Amino acid sequence: MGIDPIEYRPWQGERAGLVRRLWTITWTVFRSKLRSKAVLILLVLGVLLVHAIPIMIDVMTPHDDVSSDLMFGEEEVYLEPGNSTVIIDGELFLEGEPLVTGDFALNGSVSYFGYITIRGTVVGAGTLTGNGESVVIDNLTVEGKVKVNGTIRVYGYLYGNGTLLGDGTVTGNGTIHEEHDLIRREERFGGYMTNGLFTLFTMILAAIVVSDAISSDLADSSFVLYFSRPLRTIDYLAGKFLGLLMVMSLFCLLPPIIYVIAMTGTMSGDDYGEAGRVLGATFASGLFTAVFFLPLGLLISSMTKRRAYAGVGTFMSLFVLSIVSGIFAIFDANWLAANPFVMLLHAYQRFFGITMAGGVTPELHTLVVASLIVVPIIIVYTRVHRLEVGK
Amino acid sequence: MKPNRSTDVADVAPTRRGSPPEKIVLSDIIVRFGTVTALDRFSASVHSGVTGLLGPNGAGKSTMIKTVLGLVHPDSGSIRVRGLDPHQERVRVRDMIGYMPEHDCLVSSMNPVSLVSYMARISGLPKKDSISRTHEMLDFVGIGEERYRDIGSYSTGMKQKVKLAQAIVHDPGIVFLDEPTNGLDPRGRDEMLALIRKLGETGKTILVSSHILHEIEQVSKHLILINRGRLVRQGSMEELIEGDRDHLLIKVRGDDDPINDLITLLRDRYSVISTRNEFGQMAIVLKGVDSTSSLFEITRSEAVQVRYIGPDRQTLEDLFIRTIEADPARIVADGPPSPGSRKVRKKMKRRPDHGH
Repeated sequence: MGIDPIEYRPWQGERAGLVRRLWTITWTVFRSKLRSKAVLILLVLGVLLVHAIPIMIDVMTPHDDVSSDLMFGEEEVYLEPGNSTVIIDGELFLEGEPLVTGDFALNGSVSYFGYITIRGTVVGAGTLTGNGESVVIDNLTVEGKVKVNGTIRVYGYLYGNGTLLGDGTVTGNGTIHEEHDLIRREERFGGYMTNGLFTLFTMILAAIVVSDAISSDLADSSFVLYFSRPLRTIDYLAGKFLGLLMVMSLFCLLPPIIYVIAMTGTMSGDDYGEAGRVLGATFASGLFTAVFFLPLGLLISSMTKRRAYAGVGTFMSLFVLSIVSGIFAIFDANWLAANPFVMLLHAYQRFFGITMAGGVTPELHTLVVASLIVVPIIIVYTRVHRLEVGK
Repeated sequence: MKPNRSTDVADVAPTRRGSPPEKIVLSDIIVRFGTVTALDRFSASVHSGVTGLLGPNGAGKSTMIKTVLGLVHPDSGSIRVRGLDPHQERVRVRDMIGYMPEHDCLVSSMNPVSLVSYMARISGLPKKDSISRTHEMLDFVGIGEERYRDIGSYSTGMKQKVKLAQAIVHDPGIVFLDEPTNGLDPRGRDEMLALIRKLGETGKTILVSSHILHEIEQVSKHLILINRGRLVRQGSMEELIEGDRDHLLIKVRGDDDPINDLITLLRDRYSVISTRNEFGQMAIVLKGVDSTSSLFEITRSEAVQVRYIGPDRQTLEDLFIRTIEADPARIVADGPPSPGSRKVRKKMKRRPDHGH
């Protein structure tokens, strides 16, 4: 093994500063991630599905401008089980089988594709249009127009000054069934950054990328190599974090920026001010997305020596949080704050300057986002620092 | 300079030939891990050249090294590395130190070239220098073409060499080698000791921690003896061994009672340094003996056979065992040492025979 050893020779040169050393860690993390097959496959697949195809289609589609709707999607409103009286002033899109116990004041129009049951009274001057099978209403007062292609069953009174149109049957027996509540929720769909694939790929990528960030150093005990050198805990963590951020940015930040620039370059209008604003908001949103999942992932990575546990743990913790949030949000809308994806969406709203009803308050949003980023970082710092000082 | 501030360390002078000898001074260091006191008012100084840090397993050798590196915070006491406090000037102190840890610490998914050059760059070497320096150091430790293989596939001996290469790649003035021969076969051990000797010739301050006496004896010019977290003895190897040249060794054979009576008599007349049972003979080391004739008279009176009387040719092992046996901390903990105690001997490895 080996070669004939040579004599030791001292090194003559000047040492670099700390920033350069930190950059060495960042660059090494970045390069090692890009050598990982799992990361590469996910990046290529994600960029192709989430970014490349929409960019090609949208750029070729004639468009006048680059607006927030392009990135954030068209606004759509949902009713879900809740406990408030609903007043619809705009257009309401119904999906599923919403149940209403309170009053349902309809000034706009309601479209539904499912089965709607309203246990209160519907009073409205708007239009109730459905393509679903039936509408079940206790008391129906119509000032506007009710048009249903299915069956309308009214258990109470049916009276109105408007038009009742239908291809089905109108029946009624006045029976009161179990009561449910309703809440109003607004969401945006179809936007470049708000389609589910973008968030899903981001979450999976984050889970894979951070999985061995600290856990592998724990497994190899290579901490001691870092900390026997002139590095502080903060340098080690910052170097790692920036390296991971660069990888995440390849998916979360760079393609959206390219998208906005491409769309701006091919738009027929000349509202470059708005396009610039969208570019800025896209940059902020992309960077925020790239940052958002990393602290939680680093925290989990610092708690195990097994990278598989860290990766699955990160994914599952995000998944479980969103499931728990979905369940409890039925009773209290503030539980949406526990859903990282809703928090991400709210952040986009704030970057793009869009206000939407429902969801959590800006104060709660700020608190939760800060907690999801700052608290894990503090815990990771403390854990790594304890390793460094050996006590 | 304050600790933890963002420091540009370009001002930290790199190690050069002819720079003043590095010196480490520890004063009354106490390190506790919960209820365990790892270092107990430990004071020592390390000078240029190779210094052996010798002590049984669990004596506090690694803790001492980690404390100097700033990896472990002492509960009290002070440390100075070339006049700098490693906890106040952590970045500057670590810049001048290379550390070869005792346990596995290499990134198994990297090859030695990547790992050592990475460590070089973290230590401040420019990229271009780091590559050439890495190859130079891998040549120095004797890692050949296999340097492009992942470390995960390496034998323990090769890993130890890579650990040494990463510790010296940035040409530190001070090098800590924590159990550098751990897990090595006899050939690997000899190679490692030869490397340490070569490094020692460069004028660096090298602290070699080991619990194997034979190794320390081979490479060290200075010695620090540590037991139960306390400094037992320190000085140059020559001084420590030569310092006991006025000792006289007498080996006697006989029944237990006459031998015990003999020891009592000798204690009355001379200073009895140590007594130990060696294969049925009682070896007694004395100090202050003017003439051997009086010794013969005493032994004749006690009816014991004298097998040897002469200068005490002390080895490092003898020094260690006697010193440890005389350690008050041990006496408090274990009770007074019995003649020929083998407790200490069991803790120390006289001479390695197999890889771990």
